[in-house]
Amino acid sequence: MSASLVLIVLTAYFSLLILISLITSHNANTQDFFVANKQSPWFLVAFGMIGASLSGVTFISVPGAVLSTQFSYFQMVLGYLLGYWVIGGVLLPLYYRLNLISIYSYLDERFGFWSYKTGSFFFLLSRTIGASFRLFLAAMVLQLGLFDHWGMPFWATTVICIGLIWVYTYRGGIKTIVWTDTLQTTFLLVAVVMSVILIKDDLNLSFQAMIHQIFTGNYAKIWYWDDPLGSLFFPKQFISGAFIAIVMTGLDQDLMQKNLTCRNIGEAQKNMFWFSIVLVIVNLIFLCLGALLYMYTFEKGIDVSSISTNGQIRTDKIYPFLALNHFGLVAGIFFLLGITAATYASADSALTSLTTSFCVDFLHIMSKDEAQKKVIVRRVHLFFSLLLVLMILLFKEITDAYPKSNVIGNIFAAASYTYGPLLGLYAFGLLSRLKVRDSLVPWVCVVAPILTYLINTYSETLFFGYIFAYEHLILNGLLTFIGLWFISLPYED
Amino acid sequence: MKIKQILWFFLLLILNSSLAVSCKPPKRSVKDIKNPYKLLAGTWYLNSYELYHKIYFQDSSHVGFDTHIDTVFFYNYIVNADTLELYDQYGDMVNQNIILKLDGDSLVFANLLDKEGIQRYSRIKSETTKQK
Repeated sequence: MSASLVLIVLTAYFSLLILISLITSHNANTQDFFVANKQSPWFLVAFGMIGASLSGVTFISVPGAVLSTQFSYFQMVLGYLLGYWVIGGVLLPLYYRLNLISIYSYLDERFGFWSYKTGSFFFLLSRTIGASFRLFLAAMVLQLGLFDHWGMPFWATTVICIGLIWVYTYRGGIKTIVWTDTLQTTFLLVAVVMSVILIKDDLNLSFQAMIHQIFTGNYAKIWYWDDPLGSLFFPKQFISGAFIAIVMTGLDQDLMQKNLTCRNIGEAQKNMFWFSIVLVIVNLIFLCLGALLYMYTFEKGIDVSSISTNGQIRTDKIYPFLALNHFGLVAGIFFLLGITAATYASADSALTSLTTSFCVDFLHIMSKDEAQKKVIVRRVHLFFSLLLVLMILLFKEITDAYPKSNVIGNIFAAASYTYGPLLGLYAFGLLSRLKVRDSLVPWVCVVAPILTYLINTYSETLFFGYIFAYEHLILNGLLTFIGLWFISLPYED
Repeated sequence: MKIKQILWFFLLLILNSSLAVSCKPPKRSVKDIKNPYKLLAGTWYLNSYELYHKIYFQDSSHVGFDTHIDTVFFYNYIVNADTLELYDQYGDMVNQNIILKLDGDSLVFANLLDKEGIQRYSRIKSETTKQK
C-alpha cells in the first residue's frame, strides 16, 4: 500500500470524525463534555464501548496469540461476563444513586479526602501511561509506514496523532465520543469480518466448513483443566477475567464515563448487559480470525521469515503482515481503518476521562459557574494532550537509548499495578462497614503494589513453582484490603 | 321522664368525653424533645431490604447510613428543631430530613436522603430481616 493512499484514507477517516464532532458538539456545555447531559441512547453507548474496550494492541494481539495459546483467552472473556454483570448489578446503581461525574467521588463520601485523591491520582497515573503507550505504538507505526517517506520528524508525527484527538474532542467531550466510537467500532468490526470472509473465500470454504475446520483444527482448544500451576488453567483465567472486567471497566473512569451518559440506571444496566453479550461474540470472532490467519498462512505456504525471530513467528505481526501484503487493497485499507479505529476509540475516551477526572477530582470544577468551567476544561484538555505528547516523546527517547531492552513494556506493566489499590479501596468500601484512618490510606495504596510486585517476581520460589498470571491484580487488591483493615476504625460497638 | 333521662345521659357523656380529652397528655412534637441526641443514639432498623436499611447514630455528632447491597456512608449531623441535618467532612450540608416522630421505639422521617416518602425505623430488628 502506497504512502499516498494511506494518507488519503486516514485524511478521509479523520475528516469524518471531525464532521461528527462539529455536529454533536454544537452548543455543547461542560455538562455535555462530562456526561453528555445524560441523554445518550443506551444502544449507542453499548455498541461504542466495544471499540473503546478493544485497543489497537488487542486488535492485533488477540488473533495473533491463537498460535501459542489457542482459544484459551475465551476462558477469560467468560470471566469478563461475570465481571460486567457485577458492574451492572452493584457499581452502576451506586454511581447513579450518587449522581457521580467522576466515579472516584465515591471514595470521598465513603472514606474521605485522602482516599479520594489517592484513587483518582492512581487512575490519572495509569491512564496517562497506558494511553501514551498505546499511542506511542500507533505513532511508531505511522512514522515507519508513512511519515518516514516524507522525512517528517517523530515529534511532528506525535503532535499530529494527539492533535487529531484533541480537535474532535475538545468541544463535545464525551458527547462527541459516544457518536465517534460508534463509527470507530463499525470500522473495527468491518475490518475483522472482512478479513474472515476473505480468508474463507480464498480457502474455498463454505461457512459451515470454515466453522468445522476452525473448531476441529489445532488452534481452537478453549478449556484448560490439566495444569493448576499453569497460567492457562480455567479457574485462574475465569476469575482473573472477572476481576479484570470489574477493575478495568467498573473502577475506570474512562469506560464508566460512557455508562454515566445513559438517561437512567435502567438504561445503563441494559447497556452493560448487551455490551457484555456482544463483547463475548466479538472476542470469539477475533479468536476465529486468529485460527484462520494461521490456517491461511500454512495452507498457502506463505513465507513468514520476515516476521519471525529464531524460527518463531512474532504473533503480533501476523495479522498486519497478511492484511497489508496478502489480502488485497480493500482489505488492507479496512485493516488500516480498523487498527486506527481501535487505537483512537481507546485514546480519545482516555483523554476525555483524564480531563474529566482532573477537573472534578482536583480542581473541584462543579462549584464554579459555566463560563469558568468552560475555560478550565479547555485548558486541562490541552494540558493532558501536551502531557501525552511529552510522554510519547519520552518513550521514544528511552527506546532509542535502550533498543534491546523492553523498558517501555515494563513501565506499561508497572502502571497496571495501580489498579490493585482501586480494587482494594472499592472492595473495602462495599464489603466492610468500617471507617479507615483516611490520612494513612495513600501509604497502604503505595505499599500494596510494591509488595505485589515482589511476590509476583519471586512467586515461583515462594509458592512451590506457582506462576502468577493476571491474579497479581487480585493479590494486589487483597493486600490493599488487608492494609485498610489494619488502619480501620470500628463502625459499631 | 324519659326525655329527662336521655338528656342526663348525653350530658354525662359529654362531660366524660371532655374529661378524657383533657386528661390525655398532649402529643409531644419532635421540636419539644429536650435532648433528641439521647433518643437517637444507637442503631435503627428499616426492617426492609431497601436503601439505608440501617442507621447508626454513633454519638451526638456522627451518623452512618448503611445499605445492604453496597455501602455505608458516614456524616456529621445536628438536630435542628424537627430536622436532621447532615453535613459532609468539609462542613457542607448534604441533606435535611424532617423527623415526624421520635421516641424510644420508633423514628419516622418524612423523607430521607434521596428517598422520598415516609421512612419508619424501629429499634427492633425483625425476625425476617435477621434471618436474611
